[in-house]
Amino acid sequence: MELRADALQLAYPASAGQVKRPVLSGVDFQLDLGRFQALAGPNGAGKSTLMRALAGLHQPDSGRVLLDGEPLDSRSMAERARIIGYLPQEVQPHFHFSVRDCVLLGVRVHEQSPWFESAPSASALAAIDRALDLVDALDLRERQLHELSGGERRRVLLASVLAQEPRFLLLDEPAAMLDLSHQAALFTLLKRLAQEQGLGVLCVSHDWNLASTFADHLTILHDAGVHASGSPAELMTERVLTPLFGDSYTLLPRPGHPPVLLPQ
Amino acid sequence: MKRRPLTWAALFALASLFLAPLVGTVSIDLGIALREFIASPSAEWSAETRILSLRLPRVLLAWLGGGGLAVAGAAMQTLLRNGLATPYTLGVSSAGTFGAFLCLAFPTMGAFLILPRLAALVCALGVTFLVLAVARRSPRPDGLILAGVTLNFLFGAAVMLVRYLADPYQLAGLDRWLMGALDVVGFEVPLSLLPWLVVGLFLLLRRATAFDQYAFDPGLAAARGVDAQALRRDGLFAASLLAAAIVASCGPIGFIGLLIPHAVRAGTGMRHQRLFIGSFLLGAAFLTAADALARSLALFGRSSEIPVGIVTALVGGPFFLWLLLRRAS
Repeated sequence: MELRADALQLAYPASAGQVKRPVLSGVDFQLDLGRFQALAGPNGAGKSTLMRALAGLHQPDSGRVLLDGEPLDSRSMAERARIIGYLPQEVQPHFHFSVRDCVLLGVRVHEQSPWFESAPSASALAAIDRALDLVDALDLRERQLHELSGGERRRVLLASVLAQEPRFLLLDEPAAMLDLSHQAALFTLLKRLAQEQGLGVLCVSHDWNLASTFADHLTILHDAGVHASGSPAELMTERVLTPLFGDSYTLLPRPGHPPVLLPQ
Repeated sequence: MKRRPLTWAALFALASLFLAPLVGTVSIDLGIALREFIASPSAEWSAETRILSLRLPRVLLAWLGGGGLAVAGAAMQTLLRNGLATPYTLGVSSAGTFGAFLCLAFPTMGAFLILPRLAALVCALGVTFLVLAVARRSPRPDGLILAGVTLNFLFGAAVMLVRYLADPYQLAGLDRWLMGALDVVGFEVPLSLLPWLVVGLFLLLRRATAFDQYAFDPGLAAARGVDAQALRRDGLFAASLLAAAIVASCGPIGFIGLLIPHAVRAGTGMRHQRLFIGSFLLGAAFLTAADALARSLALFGRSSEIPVGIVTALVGGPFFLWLLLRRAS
C-alpha cells in the first residue's frame, strides 16, 4: 500500500485584484509503508499544503491523491481516518480537555460509539494507555491538556493520533517545542514505527539535522515544486542546498551521518 | 457532585419537577390534595387541587424550557467555539420577541391567545434559516457571531419601534412577556413545545461524538472522519430550532443557556453526550426552581409574582461569577 500524490496542482484563492498564487504546481510524491520520510524546504514552499492534500483535507485544483492506487476520495472520511493519521502544526482546543479525553478522540475513529456511554470501554482505556506509553506520557494521563507545557502537549497530541492506529502517519512539525531528548526520542519512535510496525511515516520538519539524522528519505520542496528527493546523505550537499539558502549556511561533516547544516 | 455529576443532575431535575408545584404565594397541603385526587379524581376539587392543576402546566413548561435552553447553549458554545455563545447569540430571541410583540401590541391582528407564540415561532425560525444561509457562506465562526450580533441589534430596534407605536396600556403586557412568559393556562403550550424539543435534542445527541471532535479542533475533526461543515450546519439548525420553539413558548429567558453548560462542563468534562444530558437535567432543575422562587416571592407587598427572567439573572449571575472566581484560583 502506498499514499501517492500525482501531478498535484493547488492554489489558494487570491484576495481581490491579485493573481492566484500556486502553492503546489505539478507535485509528484509517494509515501510507502515501512518508510520514515521527511518533507523539508524553506517557508512557504508548500510542505504543509502537500501534507494536508495527502490527508485528504485539501481538494486539489488538478492532479490526484491515490491511496493504494485508488482515489483517496473514493473512500469515506471515516474510513480514511482509520488509515491515515494527521497531526496539524497547530491544534487549538477551545475548551478544557483532559489528556485522557484527548487521546480518546483518536481511539474513537475505530469505535462505533454506543447511544449512551457513562465511561470509555475497557478496550478504549487500554488503547489510550498504549498510545500514551509510546510517547512516554503515561504519567500525564489524569492531567488537563491546558496545564501541560508546550512539549508535553505535543506529545499528548501525537499520542491521540497514534491512538487512531493508522497505517500512514502524517505529522506537521511534530518536534517543534520539544526539548532535545524528546526530539531524539520522538524521531527514534517514528523510525521504529516505520521499521517494526511497517507504518508509512511522513514528517514536515524545519530541523534539517533532525530530519537527515533519522529519516530514510528526504523530499525538499521549493517554489511550489519538488526541488530534490533522495536519501539524506545525497541531499545534504551544497549542490542541493545553495539554491535554497544562498550563502547563509555551512555544512559540517559528521562521521557516520549526513553533514550538519548550520547557519552562518 | 464530582464523582457522579449526571446522577446528581437527574436527582435535582426530578426533585424540582415534583416539589415546584407545591410552592407558591399560596401554600398547599400535599396530603389533602393527594387524598382528594386519589379518592375521586373527577369529583369537585377543593382549592388545593385546583391550585395544583394550575401550577402543573407552568412547572412543566419551565422544566422543558430550561432543559432545552441549556442544551442549545452547550451546542452553540461548541459550534461557535466561543464560551460566551448562548442559544440567542444568533438573533433567535430578539426575532421571536419581535414576532410576539407585533401580535401583543396590535391585537387586531388576531385575537387568539396562542397567536403571539405562533408569531414568535415564525420569526425565530425565519432568523434560523437566515443564519444558516450566512453559515454556508462564511466558513469562520466569528463571521457567524457578527451576523448574529447584527441581527440582534436589528430586531432589538424593531422591538423598540413596536413598543413606541404600541398603546401605552399594552406596555405592561409586552414587558411581562419580555421577562419570561411562563404563566400559561392549561397544558397546550408545554405539550406543543414537546415535539420541537424531542427533534432538537435527538439531532444533537445523535451527533454527540462528532461534537467532541469538533470541540477539540475542527481541522483535526475533519481528519478524523467528521464532516465539520455538515456538523456545523445541522448543529446550528438543531440548536436554533430549540431556541426558537422555547422563545415562542416561554419568552426570551436568558442566562440559562450560558450559565448551565459551563457549570455542567466542570463536572462532566468535554464528552458531549454527558454534557448535553447533564445540561438538560440541570437547566430543567434551575429554571423550575427559579420559577418556583419567582412565584413565591412577594416583594414590597406586591402580591403579583416576580418575572422569572429577573430571578434567573439575579440568582444565576452571582453563582456564575463564583464559578469563574473559583476556577481562576
